[in-house]
Amino acid sequence: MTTGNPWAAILAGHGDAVAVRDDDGTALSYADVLALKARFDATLGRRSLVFLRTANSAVSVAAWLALLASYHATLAIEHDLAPERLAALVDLYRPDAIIDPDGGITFGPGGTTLHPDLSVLLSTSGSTGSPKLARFTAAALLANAAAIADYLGLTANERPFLALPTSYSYGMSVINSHALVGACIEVTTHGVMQAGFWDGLKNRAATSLSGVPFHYDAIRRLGLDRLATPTLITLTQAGGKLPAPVAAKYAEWAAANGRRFITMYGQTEAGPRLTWLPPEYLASHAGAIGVPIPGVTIDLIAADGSVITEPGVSGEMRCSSPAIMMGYAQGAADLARGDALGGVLMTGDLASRNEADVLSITGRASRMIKLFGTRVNLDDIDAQLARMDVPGVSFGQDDQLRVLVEAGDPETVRTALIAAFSFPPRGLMVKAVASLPRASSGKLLYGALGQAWEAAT
Amino acid sequence: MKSLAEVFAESLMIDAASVVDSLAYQSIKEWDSVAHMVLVTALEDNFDIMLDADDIVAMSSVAKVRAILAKYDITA
Repeated sequence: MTTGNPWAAILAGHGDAVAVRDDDGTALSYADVLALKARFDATLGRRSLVFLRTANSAVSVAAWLALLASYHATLAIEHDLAPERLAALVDLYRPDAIIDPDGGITFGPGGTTLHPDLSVLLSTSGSTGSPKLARFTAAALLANAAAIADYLGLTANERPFLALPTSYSYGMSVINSHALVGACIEVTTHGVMQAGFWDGLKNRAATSLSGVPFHYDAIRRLGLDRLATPTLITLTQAGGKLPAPVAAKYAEWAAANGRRFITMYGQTEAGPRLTWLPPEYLASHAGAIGVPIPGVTIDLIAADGSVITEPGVSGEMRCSSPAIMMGYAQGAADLARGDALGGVLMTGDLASRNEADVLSITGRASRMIKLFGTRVNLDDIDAQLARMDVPGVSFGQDDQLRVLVEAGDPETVRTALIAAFSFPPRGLMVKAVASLPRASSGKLLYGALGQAWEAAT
Repeated sequence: MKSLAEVFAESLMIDAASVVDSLAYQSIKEWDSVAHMVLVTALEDNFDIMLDADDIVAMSSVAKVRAILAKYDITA
């Protein structure tokens, strides 16, 4: 593979413009990013598999961009992932190096063969350190960043305020799309319920804010007028469904205050953005995920495999996009594999179209739930229970992760699960039952878990 | 009416014994922005008050929450 990574030339074109600034006021330019890339290249010596432990600091975001523009293959993981989960990922994928949020490099076991096109790996559930990864080419992530920059109309004058992690596909897409146009990314470690967040939003003259539904719920509680800084124009929302009345309230506020509120939908596997709801649709389509972004086409597929053409009928979304992942990886051998999907992804989400061709989500087919915007694969929770030797099962719905255990103290199990993962602890509840509902074959009755939960104390 | 420690323990789903004045936002995984929202609602319900947004974002430790409640004439 002799074609260079397109990101290097793009970032070089932004010269000494500031790429990222953090809470401490540390600011690094695009030239600094490329200097960091040169340092990584010199230390690593040859094309490497790198684990980047990300944090919301200027150095960490610069390290992400440096690796994105490099010929290495990078897995972005959360810096606070439990050491044993990180160790499990290292054992499974054998990275050549692990880079800490401060840019420090530790060499790993190495020896994994990488497909020439492989550039970025994202966990399918970052908060649980899921070993199931999505594989991407640099060109795929560039295509998605370009589409986002196009529909949002991004320029080098943007200053997005970013509290989302880099390892989360939504946070990563905010960084990539703004780096593409040479904007300055304003990262923060402050949460939306902290004074430092609001001071930063105002004092750093942020022009946009990205949040998951929980953030917009919290902001509503604090009062939308907090968003009325002199510079904040654009609010984007992804990472789960915002209830229609909440979306409508933001639509009304945005229209009355000359701001724009944009709801979006995507999936990590799609690199990640798939649809957006243009602000002019918001008043009449609150709660909808909108229309495909540039370069994306979406078909709704019926149970018999046919393409649904009539409005109001639900089907699984089949997305075609230049940003679709190459495929999943479940172990080191998969990193040698090429593109398995040909730019087409079955999302596992069900949706319908209305007469105006606007899409709305109607259900989900997979064992994934969202905990306050964080994607959690229930299989990862069950695997952790098995590692802890606790007989139990996870289930639940958005913002409510439930674990039923047959033995062990629920409080102890809960504490151990919180320590193992990085999703918001408040979303997790554990209860004990004498025995889980099972069929005579011993097979777990998933449909009866809700009833067992209600009966448990 | 529950004590401040009880409201904290229930909202953050932690042991009441760990609710000490020095306990700070983000110093433990259980006190994140999601739990903070739950805490705000629980404080309002328990003490029958309406917290001001500036107070909500200033509640950075148990001691700070206690001081803010004092403004609402609550000794907790």
